[in-house]
Amino acid sequence: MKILIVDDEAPARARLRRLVEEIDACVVVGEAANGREALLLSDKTQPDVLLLDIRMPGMDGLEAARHLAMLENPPAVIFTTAYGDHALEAFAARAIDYLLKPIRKERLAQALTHVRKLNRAQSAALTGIDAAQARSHICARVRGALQLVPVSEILYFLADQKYVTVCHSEGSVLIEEPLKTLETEFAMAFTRIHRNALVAAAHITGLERDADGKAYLRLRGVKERLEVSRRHAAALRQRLVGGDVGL
Amino acid sequence: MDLSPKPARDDFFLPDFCAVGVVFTVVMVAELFAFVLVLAPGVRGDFWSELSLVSLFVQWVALSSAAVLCLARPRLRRLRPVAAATGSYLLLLLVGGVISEAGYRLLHYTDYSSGNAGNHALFLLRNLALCAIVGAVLLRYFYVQHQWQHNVQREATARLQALQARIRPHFLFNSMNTIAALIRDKPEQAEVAVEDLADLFRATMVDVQRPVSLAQEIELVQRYLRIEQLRLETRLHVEWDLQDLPLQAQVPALLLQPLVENAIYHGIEPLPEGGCIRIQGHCERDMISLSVSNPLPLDGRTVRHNGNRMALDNIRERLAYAYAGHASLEVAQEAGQYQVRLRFPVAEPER
Repeated sequence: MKILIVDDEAPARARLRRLVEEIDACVVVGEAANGREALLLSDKTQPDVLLLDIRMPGMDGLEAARHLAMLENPPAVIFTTAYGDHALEAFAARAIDYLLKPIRKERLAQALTHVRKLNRAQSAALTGIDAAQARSHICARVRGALQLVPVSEILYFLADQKYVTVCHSEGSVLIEEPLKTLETEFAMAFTRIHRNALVAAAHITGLERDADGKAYLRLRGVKERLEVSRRHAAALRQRLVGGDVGL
Repeated sequence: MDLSPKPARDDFFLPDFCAVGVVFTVVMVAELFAFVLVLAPGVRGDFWSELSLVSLFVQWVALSSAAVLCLARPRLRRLRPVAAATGSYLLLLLVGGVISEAGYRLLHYTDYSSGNAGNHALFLLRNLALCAIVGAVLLRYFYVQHQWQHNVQREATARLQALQARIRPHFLFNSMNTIAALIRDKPEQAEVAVEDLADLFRATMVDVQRPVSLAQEIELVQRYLRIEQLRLETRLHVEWDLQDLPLQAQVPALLLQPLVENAIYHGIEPLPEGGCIRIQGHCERDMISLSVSNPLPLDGRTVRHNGNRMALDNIRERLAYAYAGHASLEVAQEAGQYQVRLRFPVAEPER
């Protein structure tokens, strides 16, 4: 069984690695220090199980699990935590295993033998984990490799027929999520300006009109202007005036 | 004014009548009472001469009572509350009676022709009645005030305990996990970590109401940081800048450590690359300043405000309690840094 260890604390990772190596037929394929590293490493090493710490900087364990569950062939996830995560009860209800630190070797072995049976049903449950909180990253596949775009660097989402283009400060990627769900999830930071466009309020630099009275939005570091539909213009102006945006 | 931390406040309802502040209050209250007596309708004669005579008499009674209660206080303290209250009441009446008698004789001797000193028995009875009423009201007032202070103190203790129960587990279990990891690979480090952890818990479990020296509190912070360093490794940087601090000064226990714990929990742990905590301290004109600052995480959603605010409220409250309004706690956010600053007067070391 291939295992990926994810924890932001080096001593915790070292101990977990030693415990795993003492269990038969288990091999550690990698160690990651946060959710972001975990996703990239998981994509590269294709582990069977992730031992995933919940509280980590950057991207936490819950969000990493959500991203993993959206993969085609997701690995199983066992959460590890020291104390005080209210999510624990929710996991028990969803038949997702979790281990309390300091982790006991017998308990770890038991969880590892148990986990393969759960694999499928578990990943379905994982997609719903902590859905109330917006993700910190968008996960996309570029030429077969996993790419993670921090939400803070995204300028806008533009919907096409089947895909949504995510335009960020260093390029753009395609994802398959509907614009509607993105709008709900990121309502705090993004605003709808057109049927097909969702824009990061923090990156708006100006609102202008052409000779025909059509409104356009300018974004920081973006050459082309984005069209603002009549329907969304009023709400947008209100948000700009309301000081929501650093104009 | 007494500025030393006073968690060991003595538990008796009578204030210390030998203290300058209390004597001053007694004089003021007595003078007001004299005014009331003279202003009351039915008083004859010239207002100012009447006032000076009544003031003289009332002050005499009041200060003598204060002196007697001050002397009797150590004995009264040992009695049960009811006996102590009865005892002090009888003492007040006794003082009132004796001084009334002395006053009457004095007036009689100097042949002062005020109507007040007409009938000997009536004069004594009137004064005793006044003493009885005013004495009862005052004793009741001291008792109620003492109860109120007692409750405030109890509430502060309760809050402190609640805070400890709330913050400790996160740190305890993480430390246990670190120690479990170190035991086989680095047994010496594990050993030191267990010793540090024991000292930290001793400090939080032993009477937290008892003040410690500034040096002890700083040492506690250093032990705490040593444990966190094992866990966070290179992600945690600490800069100390302490200048001219009176290390023997008494401070409330756990004043600095919770601030540093907060700085790590809210400022360092959410950063993948970690960051630097700056602990500064200096002393100027008998005021000690201590500050702890940490980087603010860029991503606001990972910040958990509740635990932080609770810890700050708790420290603010304990400062207010120990230094009676002469201390302050300020929070500042600027240039990506979060800073908490404490200011409080230097207090004498306890003997």
